[in-house]
Amino acid sequence: MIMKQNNLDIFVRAVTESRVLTGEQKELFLHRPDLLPDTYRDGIIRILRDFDNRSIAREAYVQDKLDTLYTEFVQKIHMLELSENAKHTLFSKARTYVDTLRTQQPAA
Amino acid sequence: MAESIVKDLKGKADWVYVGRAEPARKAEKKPDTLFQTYMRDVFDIAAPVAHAEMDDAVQTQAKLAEETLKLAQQPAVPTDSVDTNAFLKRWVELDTKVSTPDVPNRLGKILTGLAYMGGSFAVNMGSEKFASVLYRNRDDIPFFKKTITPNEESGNKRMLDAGWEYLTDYGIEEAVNMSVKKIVNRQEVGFVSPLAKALSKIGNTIFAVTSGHGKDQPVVWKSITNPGFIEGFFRAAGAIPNAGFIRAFYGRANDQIMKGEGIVPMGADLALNMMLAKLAVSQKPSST
Repeated sequence: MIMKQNNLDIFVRAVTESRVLTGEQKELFLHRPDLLPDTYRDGIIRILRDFDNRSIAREAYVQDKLDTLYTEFVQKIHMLELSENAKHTLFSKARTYVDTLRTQQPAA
Repeated sequence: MAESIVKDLKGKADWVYVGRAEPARKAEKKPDTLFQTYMRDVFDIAAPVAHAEMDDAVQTQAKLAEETLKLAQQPAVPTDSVDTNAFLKRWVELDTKVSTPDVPNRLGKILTGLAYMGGSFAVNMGSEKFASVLYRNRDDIPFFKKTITPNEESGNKRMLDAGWEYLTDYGIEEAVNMSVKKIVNRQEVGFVSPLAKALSKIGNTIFAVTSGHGKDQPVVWKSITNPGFIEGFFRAAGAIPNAGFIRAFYGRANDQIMKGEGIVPMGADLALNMMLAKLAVSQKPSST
């Protein structure tokens, strides 16, 4: 009984935090999840967690690359003879664009 | 031509002089150009990852669908959490939706129906034998401080027969429904349908009206006229391949009875009223 409850809690958390499920899918999974068999819940938990782990790894990889790229960009800009205001504008523009790119909705 | 020569040389030598080195372009030093280059590099990094994310999401959705399909292909798991108490669903659902190792479809339904037919017949037959011990072969039955004489002249025997038949049929119906609840582990389902109950009651009324005067109905006929046997027959016969008309009749007759409309309720009422009228006339003392 305790294991079943744990499995249920993990299932609810996996669905709620999932990066791949749409809002509608989350609603469907979270409607009386206690009626779903344990084995099915286990399967869904495994699939969702696997995707989330891969997605987090991809995000970390992109973040690392973008940080490096931004550092190089800043160094190159500093080497130019530009006013502080112009530099600030460029950096702000770059950060805005990259942030927009990073906060795009997941593929799902 | 020049390009192909250069490519050939590049493939064979570590280096090759292909002309005067291009001077450093001043445009690259411009802030806008640097910014564009930076953004292009950003997209070069982000785009493949975004593409991989999308591919992965599609494959994950396919895995979710596959997992759900596996669940859908499994037999329905009866639970106590199904939110329905509708009387119609009680017997329709068991017949059409619930398919467990204990109540499978087709062949299983036939065997289940036959089992309930046999069980109900045996119980009803036993109740007939018990009736012989209880009152039929006795001259007097103590009833509080009086005695009942179950003979033909007083009509007590017919009355007791009718009451006993009603009670045993009711007991069989309850026992059958209870056993199905236990088998499928669900409280909202049943086995006996309104049609079987109606036919059983009509049959009992016919026996009550036509028996007596030293001519009892055969015990076999009484023993098959109970809800468990009739319902088992319909379920078993309805599951036989190419016997869809039985299922159709069974379903529509039940539908009519529950709605109180159609030929079946009207026929049942008609038959019952005709028999009661005959009974009343037969019991009327002669005026001559």
